[in-house]
Amino acid sequence: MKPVFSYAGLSRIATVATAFLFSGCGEHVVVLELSNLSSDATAVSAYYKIETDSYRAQSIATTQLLSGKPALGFRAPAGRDGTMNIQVFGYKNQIPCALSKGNTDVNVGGAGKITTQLVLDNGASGGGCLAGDAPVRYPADAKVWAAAANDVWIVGKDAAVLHWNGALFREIALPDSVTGTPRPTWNAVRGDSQGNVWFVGDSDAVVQLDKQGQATRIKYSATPSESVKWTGVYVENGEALLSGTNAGESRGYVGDYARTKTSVDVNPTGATGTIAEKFPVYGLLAMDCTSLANCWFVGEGSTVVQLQNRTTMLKNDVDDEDTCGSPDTTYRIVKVLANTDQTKVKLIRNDSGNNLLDFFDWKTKCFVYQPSNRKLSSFVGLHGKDGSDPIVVETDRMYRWNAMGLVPLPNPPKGVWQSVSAVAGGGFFATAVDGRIYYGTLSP
Amino acid sequence: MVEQASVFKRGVERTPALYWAVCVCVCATLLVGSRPAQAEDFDSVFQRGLSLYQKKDYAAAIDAFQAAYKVRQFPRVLLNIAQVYRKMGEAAKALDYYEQYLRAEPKMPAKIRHDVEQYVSQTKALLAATSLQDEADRRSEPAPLGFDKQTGNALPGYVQGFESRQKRKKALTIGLIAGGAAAAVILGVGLGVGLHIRNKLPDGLVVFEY
Repeated sequence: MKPVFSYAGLSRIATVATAFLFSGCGEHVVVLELSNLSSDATAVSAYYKIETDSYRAQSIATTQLLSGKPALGFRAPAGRDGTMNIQVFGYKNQIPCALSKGNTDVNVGGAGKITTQLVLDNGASGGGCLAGDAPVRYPADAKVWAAAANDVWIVGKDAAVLHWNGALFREIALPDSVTGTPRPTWNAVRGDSQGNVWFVGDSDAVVQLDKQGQATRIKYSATPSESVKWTGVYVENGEALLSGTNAGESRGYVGDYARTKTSVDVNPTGATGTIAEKFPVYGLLAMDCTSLANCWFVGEGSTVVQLQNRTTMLKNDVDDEDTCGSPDTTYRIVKVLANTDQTKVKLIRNDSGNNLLDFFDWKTKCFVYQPSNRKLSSFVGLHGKDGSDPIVVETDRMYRWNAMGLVPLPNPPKGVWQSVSAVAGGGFFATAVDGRIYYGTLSP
Repeated sequence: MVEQASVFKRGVERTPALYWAVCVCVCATLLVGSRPAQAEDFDSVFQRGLSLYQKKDYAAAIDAFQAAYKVRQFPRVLLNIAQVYRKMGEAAKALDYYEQYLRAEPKMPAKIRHDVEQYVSQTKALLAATSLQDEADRRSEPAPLGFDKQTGNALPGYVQGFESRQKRKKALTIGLIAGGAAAAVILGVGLGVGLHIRNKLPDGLVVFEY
């Protein structure tokens, strides 16, 4: 007589039971069921963390969600207990305007599946938006450059770098060994079509981030006699031109980085034998280029210079009258929008002592401003996609700058806006001193 | 492989009912498979106890009976130990073994029960009076029950009946253990199935890793 129970029988029973365990019983997953997700949303992004960890971030297209009952899963680490905070956003067409958003806490102690519901708020409009919902650090004193709506770089104080990739905001942590200490404020950011992004700022700080995410401190070919505050950068095919100033804005600097080198030639304005030899000897406060062969530098002392082919300097005059007869050398030009057509170049003067902004257009022989365009502000941003259709942002106001002058955009958000970057498709990103980000749209 | 092993371990940890069910099953199987291997030594040891008892070597007789009881747990041996202790005047120990015997052999023949109850009464009286009865009275008492008074051999009918009851009892015990193990396994598997259904992730769910 065979025994009713044998080790072989027990083994078979254990195998069957284990198969059940493997097939899901042991999962430690938060299943977040979403409701009220906007039907316009094309992607859902989630930021999540346990307790005091840093946020993880993931995104998927809404087409990947379960039909009928959208849900996301979050697998907690084995053995990890605590409260998981999850923030969910619904975006449309890679624009960081959250059509839907929600926030919930889930206790991930124990084992097995944890199902919870999140009812999303649908508050954003279909047009512009303040894009500061995601739980990331938004840089103070923020400047922006957008290669496209899904490739936006925001930089600011403490060497902070924030990137929007069309689905998520991610903080890029640059190490002190690259940024230098104290960590500088980035004054400008710009990238090229190869995926290299340059950050320039105070205290000689020049950093390149390649498309693999490798950050490199760019060194000087020769150390200048004083510290340089870099104010602008233009990058093309791995090469770069930079504008800079000394601390007192009494001397400007032009930086030139060639691909064949691994360092920047730092050219003090007025220095014999350099590309900045014939520049007016004032601090350079901004620059813009349509290419490396056509760059415009502006700064203190009414400095408006066109640098052609990285070698030839053409000086331009500014005036407050139409006569262009007596150039005023006291203007502090802080923004420039380059164009291949000199008559379409735009300049902005900042009379910070009087809290005034003046806007200069080309007039026959020189750049002049119209008193009717004067604004009472100290912060201003200027950019136009491909040098055209300039957008101006300042405190609580935004404009398109065309033949009619400064045409206000309707219902701009309040903020001390100081940087703007237009993108293809009629949109633009603006950043404020306090780190806020705005995405706006422009009618054709 | 390491990951699979850790997943299995986690799974077992999260389903204790199944784990215990498997344990119970294994134990039951081990119990069923076990057999006493020294039953043939019982008679000789027991006989030695009787012989020593007749020679009034009570201490050695107790050792022999206890050795016999280790080999085969016949309740009758407990009664003999009780009788010897009573002979020795160890009333408390005697009473203890009488009680053990009564617990181990609840369905004893009526005559034996009657005799045992008499011995228990006498022993309790001894214990209460804190003095032993006269040695001569004790010596006139009959030999241990169930054994031939003249030869000291175990009476066949009594031993065979006892062994038959022991076999039935053992079969019942095995059946209960096996049945319990089967029930536990069924319960464990059922629990596993329930957990599986409860914890199964929706098909197509995108899961973000931490």
